Amino acid sequence: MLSEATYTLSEKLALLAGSISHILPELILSAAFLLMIVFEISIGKKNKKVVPLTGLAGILLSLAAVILLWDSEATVKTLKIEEEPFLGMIRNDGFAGFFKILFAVSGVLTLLFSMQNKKLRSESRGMGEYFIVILGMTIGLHFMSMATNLLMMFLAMEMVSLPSYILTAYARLNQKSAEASIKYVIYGAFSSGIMLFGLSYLYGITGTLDPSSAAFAQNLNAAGAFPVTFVLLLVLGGFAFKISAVPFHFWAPDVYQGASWPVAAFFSVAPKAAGFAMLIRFLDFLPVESNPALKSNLIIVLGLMALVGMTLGNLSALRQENFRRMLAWSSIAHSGYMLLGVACFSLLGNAAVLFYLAVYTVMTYAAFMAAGWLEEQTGSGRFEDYRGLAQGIPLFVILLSILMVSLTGLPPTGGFIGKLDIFLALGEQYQETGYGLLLLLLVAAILNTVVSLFYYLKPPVYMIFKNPSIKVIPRFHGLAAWILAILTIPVLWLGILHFDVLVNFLQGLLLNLSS
Amino acid sequence: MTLTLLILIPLIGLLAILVLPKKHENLIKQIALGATVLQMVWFLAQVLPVAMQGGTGEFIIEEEARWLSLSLGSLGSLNIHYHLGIDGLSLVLLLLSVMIFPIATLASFSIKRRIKTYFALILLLNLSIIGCFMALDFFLFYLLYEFMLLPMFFLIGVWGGERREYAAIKFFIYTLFGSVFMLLIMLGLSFSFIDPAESAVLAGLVDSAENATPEIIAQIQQQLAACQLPGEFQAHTFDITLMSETVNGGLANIVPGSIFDYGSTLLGFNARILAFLVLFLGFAIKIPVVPLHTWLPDAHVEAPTPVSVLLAAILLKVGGYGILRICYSIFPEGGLVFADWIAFFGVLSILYGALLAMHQKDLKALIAYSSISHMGFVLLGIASMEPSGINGAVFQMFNHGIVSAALFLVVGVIYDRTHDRTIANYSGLWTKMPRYTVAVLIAFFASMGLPGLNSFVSEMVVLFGSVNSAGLSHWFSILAVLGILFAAVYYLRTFRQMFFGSFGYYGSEGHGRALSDLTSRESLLLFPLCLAMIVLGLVPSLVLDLMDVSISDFTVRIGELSQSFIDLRGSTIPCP
Repeated sequence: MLSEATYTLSEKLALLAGSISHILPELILSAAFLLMIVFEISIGKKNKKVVPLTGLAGILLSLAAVILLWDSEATVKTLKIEEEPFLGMIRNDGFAGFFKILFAVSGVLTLLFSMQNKKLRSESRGMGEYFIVILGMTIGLHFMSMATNLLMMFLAMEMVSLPSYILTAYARLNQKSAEASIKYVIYGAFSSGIMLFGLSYLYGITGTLDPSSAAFAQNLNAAGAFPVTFVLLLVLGGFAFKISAVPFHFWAPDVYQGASWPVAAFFSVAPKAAGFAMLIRFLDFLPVESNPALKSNLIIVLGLMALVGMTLGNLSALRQENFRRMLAWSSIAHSGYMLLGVACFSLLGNAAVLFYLAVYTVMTYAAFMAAGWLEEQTGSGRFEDYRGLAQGIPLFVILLSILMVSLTGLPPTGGFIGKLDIFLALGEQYQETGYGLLLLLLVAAILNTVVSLFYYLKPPVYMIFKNPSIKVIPRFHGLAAWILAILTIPVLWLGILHFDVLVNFLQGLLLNLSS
Repeated sequence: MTLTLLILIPLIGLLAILVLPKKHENLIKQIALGATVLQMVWFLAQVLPVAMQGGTGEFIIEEEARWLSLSLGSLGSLNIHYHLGIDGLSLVLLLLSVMIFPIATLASFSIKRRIKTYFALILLLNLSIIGCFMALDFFLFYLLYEFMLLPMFFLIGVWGGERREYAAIKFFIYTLFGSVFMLLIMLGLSFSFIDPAESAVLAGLVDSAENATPEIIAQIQQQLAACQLPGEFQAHTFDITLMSETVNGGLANIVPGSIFDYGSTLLGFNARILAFLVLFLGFAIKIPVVPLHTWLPDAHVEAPTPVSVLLAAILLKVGGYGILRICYSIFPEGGLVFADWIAFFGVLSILYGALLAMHQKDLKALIAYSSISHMGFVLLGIASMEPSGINGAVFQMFNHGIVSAALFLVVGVIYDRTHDRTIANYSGLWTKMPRYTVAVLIAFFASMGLPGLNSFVSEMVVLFGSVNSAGLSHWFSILAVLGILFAAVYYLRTFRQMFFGSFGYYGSEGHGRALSDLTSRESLLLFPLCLAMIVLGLVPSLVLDLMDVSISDFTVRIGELSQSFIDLRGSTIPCP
């Protein structure tokens, strides 16, 4: 948009100044970010609570701002270029708002638990920077959910990636942590490079960085399906890295196991949600309806990524003996399920992905939390060492079992409804288009659900069926108990009641997404 | 509320148990027993009398409330209702369930470990099974059907025998495998049928679904059949009654050109036939049908006595019920197309189960295999698609419930005393345990189909049906009779070994002295079951009359429907 310079500099500045109100939540986060730095170098060393509490306040305030600024009506049709924030670089709509809520929930939980985490607190150089980096990452996540310009998308993604590397490596004396972060950096740099390469070709083909412009669609259609698919494949590489989809998933198991558990939990939900937000927006700009060849190519590509992701993730998770590593592989499988919804290219499919993400955020965060809590209490991450825990901490085991049932996708839980929605979307597209691949994907996804049962049952089976092996039985109480219980409520609630309200609401958000 | 209360009573009991501290073990047991007894009383006092006055084939009592409404974009909406109902078929199985549950709960009083969790799970199992027998919305049915697995999984896995973990996981995986395919069919069904009343609301003809008159409904159905109902006015439904509603011999509410319309194909096969097959496979695992039966002996042998009772007496019946309520109601032509195969697998189960039972050394395994054999009659009866065959099948389910409950209790009696179930280790129990011997005698004779006892009647009625059936070969009936003969062999042989001759116990030292006659609690458990076997053997009409009308209506309807489908297959033109 900026390249189509029909405005003078002063006009541009005026437009930019007018857009400031659109990024109020991000401004609040930035202010908190700066305040945290100031506190860290002034009073942070004496009072260790000040920095994280500032961060918490910042996230909560920005959440309030998101809700106040809620705008589900921001469509391209109604807005002229002058009215779009930052000349069309970002769009502050209800779609982005939904994701910002997810980021806020996971961000608040991460800050809370990091404050309590013993391993992190024993870190010699203190925790201040750690919280600051989390906040910086949250700002990047916000921009990922709003970006509507190719350049902006790339920049927002990098703004998330760099803090991720730092957070992974934060426990630098831990060998696992160091190894994980190196892997992360290498894969991250590689996939960013590929994506940037793809974006440059995309610019070459279309002559614009603004995918909402008419020229973008026209030039893509003019270029023929094969080269465009190839270029899009490169761009998808970057997205695949963020959502830990095959074949850019290799970093996930190491990072989820090596990082401290609040960070692992945060990584498994927030950047993934942001990646899907950007992916859905990006694919929505593509002229799939006027270009059936491109659409069917993309369905094949996304469908294959989903199929391999689900299968590989599940089969690898089967072999894991470490709780967190198992969750990591299973989250790769979950990305596969969600990609199925994206591959539908329909309102129903995208709404299903959003719903799935909402449930996924809650249940995965809770599952990581449970795994991390067990690791802290027992000093081991292996299922072997959790034998017979049900006799000591029955409430914990019940909550964990509910979460595992939901992750498998069995009723009556939100995880089941998430899968059902995705399957419904596939069914609808099959009925509409008669495209046999969709049906095969559906069958594969359902079979994968059965496979996933084998490993999700492992923790409850060890804890309930086996005879106890540990002498010291941990006590399950306090903040961890409350939060785990609270996180389980929506998982059950969305499995039985009112999920239709949420799905219909999400469809409404998506209706206003595209041009 | 009459029906909802049947679910609410165990739910309230469950909540009461959950809030009680662990140490009140006796109170917890009493609450669980109280809830199941109350449920039985409510059923006998409020549901059964109303149902018996019914006499038409319609659903006698129905309860319906809107639950969820999901927007499907260009395909209108998907409505899910909380819809419960009872007809003759569900009435009989509910009667069985509410009678067996108090018995199983009382039998559970001997459970020693983790009392609170155990009884909570029993009540959870109770409410999902009872709900499943009443659910008339496919979504609700599926939810409860899947949910049933979880309490059963834990009941076997925690309180079971040595290989409990293996047995529990095997049980879970097998049945889940069957039910995920049910999910696949459910997805297809969600696009294939509409609720005419709700569609009238979407189309703006009436302001609420309750106000839709029969004329308006007929108008909507005509528009639908003529492809004049646009997608956004279609309110899709999971309601089983709407899915099987007929008009002029065809389905009234099917969306033309949808996944499960007459001529639709999936991957080159007729979609409806394929759907029947997939659903049938899921339920066949539950029944279980040979060769999908291998989870059952493991689960039975490892499960504690009361859980075995529930598994054999009630849980297996959900499979048979599902075949009738779901497969034959929605895709009846599958029953016609596969009649021979279904009968074949029924007879295979009868014979193979009986042959395996003959070679068991463990008494509980013997009874588990005989269960497979007797459930084979259910399949044979259903395959006939004759009123007598299906009547016999449902009655056989009822009788097998009573008899197998008694049989597993009987095994539990000696297992409690000696922790040994090896048949060869016992002899001459007659001398030391006379009351026990009488109970075993009645249960064994009933199970082998001796005239005068209940299973004889149901097996005969099934055989009448299969002989009368136009489609089935007579060979099926002849071979099935062989199964009865086999049953006589293994039961009589076992009885001779264990009860005749002079008393002896050849297992580990010292346990033989523990073999005393039935306690009063055990007598209390076995007496009603034995009484029921005799009474129903003499007056089978007590149960048969409850379902007779429903089932003949059902048979006529699926007969007509399946014929019209066979005639119409491939001849309809999908909408442009």
